[in-house]
Amino acid sequence: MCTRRIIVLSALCFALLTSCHTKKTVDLLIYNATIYTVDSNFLK
Amino acid sequence: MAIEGGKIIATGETKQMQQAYVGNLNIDAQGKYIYPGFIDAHAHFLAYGQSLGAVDLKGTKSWPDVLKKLAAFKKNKSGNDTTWITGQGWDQNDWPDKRFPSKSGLDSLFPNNPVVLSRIDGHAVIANQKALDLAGIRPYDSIKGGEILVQDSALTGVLIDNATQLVFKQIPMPTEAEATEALLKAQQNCFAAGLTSLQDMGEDTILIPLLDSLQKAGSLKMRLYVLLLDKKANFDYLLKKGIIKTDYLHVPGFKVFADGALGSRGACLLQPYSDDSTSYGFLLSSKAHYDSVAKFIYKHHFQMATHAIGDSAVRTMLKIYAKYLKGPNDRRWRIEHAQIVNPADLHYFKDNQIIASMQPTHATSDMYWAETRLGPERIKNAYINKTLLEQCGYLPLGTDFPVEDISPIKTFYAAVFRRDASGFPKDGFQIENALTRQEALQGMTIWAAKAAFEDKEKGSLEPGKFADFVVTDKDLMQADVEDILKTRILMTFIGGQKVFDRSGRPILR
Repeated sequence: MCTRRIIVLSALCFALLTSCHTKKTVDLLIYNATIYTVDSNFLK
Repeated sequence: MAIEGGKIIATGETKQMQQAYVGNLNIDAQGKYIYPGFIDAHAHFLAYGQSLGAVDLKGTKSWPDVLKKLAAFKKNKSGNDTTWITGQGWDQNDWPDKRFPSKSGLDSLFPNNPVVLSRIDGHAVIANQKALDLAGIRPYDSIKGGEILVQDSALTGVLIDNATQLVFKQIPMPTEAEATEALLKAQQNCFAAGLTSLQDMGEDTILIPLLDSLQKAGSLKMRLYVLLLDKKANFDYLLKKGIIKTDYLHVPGFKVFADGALGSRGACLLQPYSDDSTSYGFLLSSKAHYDSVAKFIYKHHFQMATHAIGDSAVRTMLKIYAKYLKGPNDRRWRIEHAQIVNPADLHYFKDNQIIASMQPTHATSDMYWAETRLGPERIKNAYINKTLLEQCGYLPLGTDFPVEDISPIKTFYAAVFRRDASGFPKDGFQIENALTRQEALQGMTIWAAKAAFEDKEKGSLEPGKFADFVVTDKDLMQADVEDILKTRILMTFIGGQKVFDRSGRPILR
């Protein structure tokens, strides 16, 4: 029981650490917009 | 969109971006629309700033209406003030009496102040006697590339093209503080309109150190591409200094004037004006001069842009360009306005990759009287944006402000729907030369950047490029035609920094 809890907690910590490490901090994130990039394919 | 160090590092779907990035500042755009920062490919930045302090004569209905505005302006001046009074924006083509006005009303209103009022296109002025005296202008004086109008052996006060400089030279140069104030006021209006870069078509070297210092101090954030005027001092300056390029300032060449404007009959035509069979307009300098300038610019790898409106001026410059460019090249030489192009000359654009730099609102401002100047056949060769796009493959768009309104939204509307701001004409003026929405947006962004050798750093929202962008409340690519001019700029960013925010509104605070 105790071992299983440790494993679950470890997995949670790992998940949290992983998510923190994979998220790059940037100066500005602007989201939830329709962006017309006007690149060579005129992608939206 | 993720931004770091003033540049875009990634764009993508919201979910993916939020999984990959967290911002020191996070903005929920609430489903609004983002475009690359708008670029005006032909503007006069300082002149616009200065115009904000001048008497605004745009929309005046008659010459007495102009005098009425000036009389109201006079009331706010002290009685012993004898300084210059400047105004701009009158257009006799919009008045019931379409003849040029005469200065008598100005003389009685302002006997002690020199006054000069620029026509809407900046290619003609009316000056009072005090200003003419300071300039030493007398009846029947003449000047190459200009006209001094006389009626009944007396000066009317109207000066055209090169003659306008005789008066303008008398106006004291703005002090550094005055120029700074004008530039910063202009900048604020430009940010509110969604402009993040301007292509300034003709300044003197004296302005360059001021622009650079204001940009380095952080007060001037507008990105500027500046071409220097066709003067020896300017050629000497750039030859010695070389092309100037920072993230905010780019001075790669020269702006030349081949002729004047259609409204003041200064545009140089192949055949006489339809409403004045004695006049062809005129070139502002000799062909030999333009040839020598092109030779110098080509030799030293600078960029050349030439104001050419009439079909004769356009032909003259295209032939000179072709002489040096000699076919495919990447010099990106430009013809500014290219308002009337004889069909026989279109091939020069394609053969030599010459850029036509167009102002869509010129077409919708001039459409009321341009046919009177050109006649029913020649008008078909005028304002041919689509045809010119097909030659070079891209078409930078601008406004020529302060000649036209600074709004890129009006540029978009005029380019796509060929209507003016009143919605006239419903079917569009010479609609066969309308651009698609996509082409118009490209003209205000990536194509404008390309015409300035800046497409590697701006003009689209791609990783590695400057984070210059605007947020609008309407989708320019989808909105109903009737809604386009209602589009509001919500925010403007330069290098990832917010420079304009429509505050006090319930969105995006």
